[in-house]
Amino acid sequence: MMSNHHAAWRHALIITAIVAACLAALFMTRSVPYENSQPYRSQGHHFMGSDILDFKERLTISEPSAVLSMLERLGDKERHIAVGASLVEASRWRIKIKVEDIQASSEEQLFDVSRHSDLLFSRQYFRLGSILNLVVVPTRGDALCYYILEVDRLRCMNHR
Amino acid sequence: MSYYFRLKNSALVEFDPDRYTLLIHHSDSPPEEITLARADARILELLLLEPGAVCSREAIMAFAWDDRVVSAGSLNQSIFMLRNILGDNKDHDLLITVPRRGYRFNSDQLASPADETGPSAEPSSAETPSNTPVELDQPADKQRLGKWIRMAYLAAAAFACFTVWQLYAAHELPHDVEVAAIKQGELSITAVGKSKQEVDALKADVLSSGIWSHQLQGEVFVSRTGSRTNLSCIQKSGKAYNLEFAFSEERLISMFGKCLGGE
Repeated sequence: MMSNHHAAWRHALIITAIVAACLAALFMTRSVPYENSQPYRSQGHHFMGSDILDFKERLTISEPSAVLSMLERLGDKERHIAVGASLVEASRWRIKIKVEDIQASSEEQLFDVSRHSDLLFSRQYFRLGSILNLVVVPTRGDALCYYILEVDRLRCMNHR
Repeated sequence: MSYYFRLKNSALVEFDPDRYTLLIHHSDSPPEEITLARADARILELLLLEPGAVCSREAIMAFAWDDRVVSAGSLNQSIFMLRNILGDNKDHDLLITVPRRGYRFNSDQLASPADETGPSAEPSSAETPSNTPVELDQPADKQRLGKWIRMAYLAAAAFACFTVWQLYAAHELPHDVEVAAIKQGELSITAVGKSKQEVDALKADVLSSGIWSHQLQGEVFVSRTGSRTNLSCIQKSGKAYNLEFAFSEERLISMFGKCLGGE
C-alpha cells in the first residue's frame, strides 16, 4: 500500500510539473511587451512638395484600451487628434483596436487636400466604430514598429 | 505460467509454480535453479497472484496446505525459508509482513521477461509472460488509481499540445503582411508591404539607391502607399523617427540619411 501511495505521489508530481510548465509558457505567450507600458513616442515629417508637416505621436496601450494622440503642425497651424480605442485583441504580433472616441482640435484643414489626397485618405479610418489592425513588425530593440493594415501606415515608436 | 521479479541484488527470478522452481538469473554467473518445498512454492504463488495485496495468514495456510490443519509455526517457518532463499531475511522488503493482517509481495519488485539479461536468459516459447494474469487481478483500488492517473496524464498531454500550439501561433508572424530584411554592418533595412511583389519592388529601390556606400547606422522600415513612401527609423540613439514623402520628389538616399539622423 505504501508503495502505491509513493507511486501515486510520483505521478501527481510529474503531472503537476507538466501543467505548471504549460501555464508558465502560456503566461509568457499572453504577456506582450507593449501592453501596460510607458507611452510610446515618435516624431517625424511629411514632405509635401515645398511644405513640411511636422508631427508627433504618442501611443499608450493599457488593457482594455489604447490611446493614440497626434500633434500636427504646418507652418503656424496646429492640430491635435486623440483617438481612444478599445483593445479587441492583443497578441505578440497583432493589435486589434476599435475606435471608440475621437477628440480633435478645431483646425480642420492643415494641408491642401487636392494636392495631398493620399494623406487625407490615410485618415478616413479614424472614425468612430472602425476596427484597426496593427501588425507588429519585429525589431532588434524595445521599439514598437507596427503597420496599420487598413490605412497602410507604418510607424516606429519608442519610449524615448 | 511463470512469474518474474527481482531480488534486492537485481538478479531476475523466474518462478515456475507448476514445477516449484526458482530460476535466478545473476548478471555475472549462470542461472541458478532452486526447487522449493511444495508449501513454500504455494505461498509464493498466492502472494504473486495479487502482488501488493495483503493475504491473510489463514488464507495462505488454506492455499498452501490445501485446507489441512497446520500450526502457525509452519507458516512462519515457510516464510522464513522463502526469505532466506530470496535473500530477504534481513529487511523483509520482498515478502512484507503486515502486522496483524498477513503478508504481501512487494509489487515494486515485479519484472517482465523482457528485463531478462544474461547469457542463458533468452525466453523460450514456453515462457509466456507471467504478469498478465497478475495485472488483471490487481486490487480494485489500484486499478481505480491507475485509471485516474491515465486520465490525468491524458489531460496533461492535451494541455501540453494546446500550449505548444499557442507558442507556435504566438511566434508566427501574421500572414497579411510581408516583410523582407536586408542587413549590412550596423544598418538594417526592412521592407514592409501587403504583398511579396510590393516588398520586392521596395527592396529593389533600396538596393539601387546606393545606400550601402553611406556609413549609416540603425534600423529602417520602409513601406509604400500609393505615391508616398514611408520610412520609419530607429536611430542609433534609440529614438524613433518617421518620414513620409513622394518617391518622385525626394531622393531615397537623402531621406534615409534624414531618417537615421545621419544628415
